[in-house]
Amino acid sequence: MSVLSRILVFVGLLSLFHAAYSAHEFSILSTKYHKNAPLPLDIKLETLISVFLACFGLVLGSEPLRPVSWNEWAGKIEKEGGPHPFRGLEDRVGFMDIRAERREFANWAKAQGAATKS
Amino acid sequence: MAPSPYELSLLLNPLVPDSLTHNTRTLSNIRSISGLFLGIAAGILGLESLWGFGFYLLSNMLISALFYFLLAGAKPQKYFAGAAGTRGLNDKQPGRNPGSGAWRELWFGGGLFTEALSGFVLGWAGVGGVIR
Repeated sequence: MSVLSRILVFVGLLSLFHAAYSAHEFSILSTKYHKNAPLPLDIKLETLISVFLACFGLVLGSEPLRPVSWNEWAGKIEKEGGPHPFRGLEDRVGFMDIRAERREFANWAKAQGAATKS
Repeated sequence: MAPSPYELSLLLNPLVPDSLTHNTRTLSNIRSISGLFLGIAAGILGLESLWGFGFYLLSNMLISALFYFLLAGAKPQKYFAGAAGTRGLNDKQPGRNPGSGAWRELWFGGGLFTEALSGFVLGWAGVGGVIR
């Protein structure tokens, strides 16, 4: 949840409770002096806007969705550099780069020889 | 025996169960929390009978639209399963068929008429009773 969405939800809830308090006060006063007055427009507008803000912050702050198809899911993992689900297929012996392995071994052997000589 | 369209679709375009549960959980989380907020708002506004349910439906469509465009990027088929047996099968033109019917899960799924509705009614009745 990012900071902006938290702020949106917080402000929305705060003003929602403010609207609730205003409506409560209004209903107490209206029953004391006159009967069945409709709610003033500003309280209605405040309620609607604040609930919209809170919902907007909620949607904005929720976790991103994950692709549901296997191919898109695996492609996304591979692009991000994680251990992708087709690793087992690509690590088979037939796909081994034998020259790179040899070069690596030669370098290692050279380093070992230098270390023991000195 | 030839495989049924359902089995073929599973073979051609398999789904990831983890992602499916994650997406539906995200949607139902948003629906249930916002359902409570909407219930509080309906209680403050003092809506009665059908007006309350109309308010619920209308504002949930707004939330679904936000979800559709902000989170799903107007591609529901990428994030929800859709109708069984449509994904991957393509008889008419070449190319990958993304399937169909996922918009229904996005717009009307996530407990819109079950859990979120009960949360809405709870907030509506509770706040309406306290304020008046």
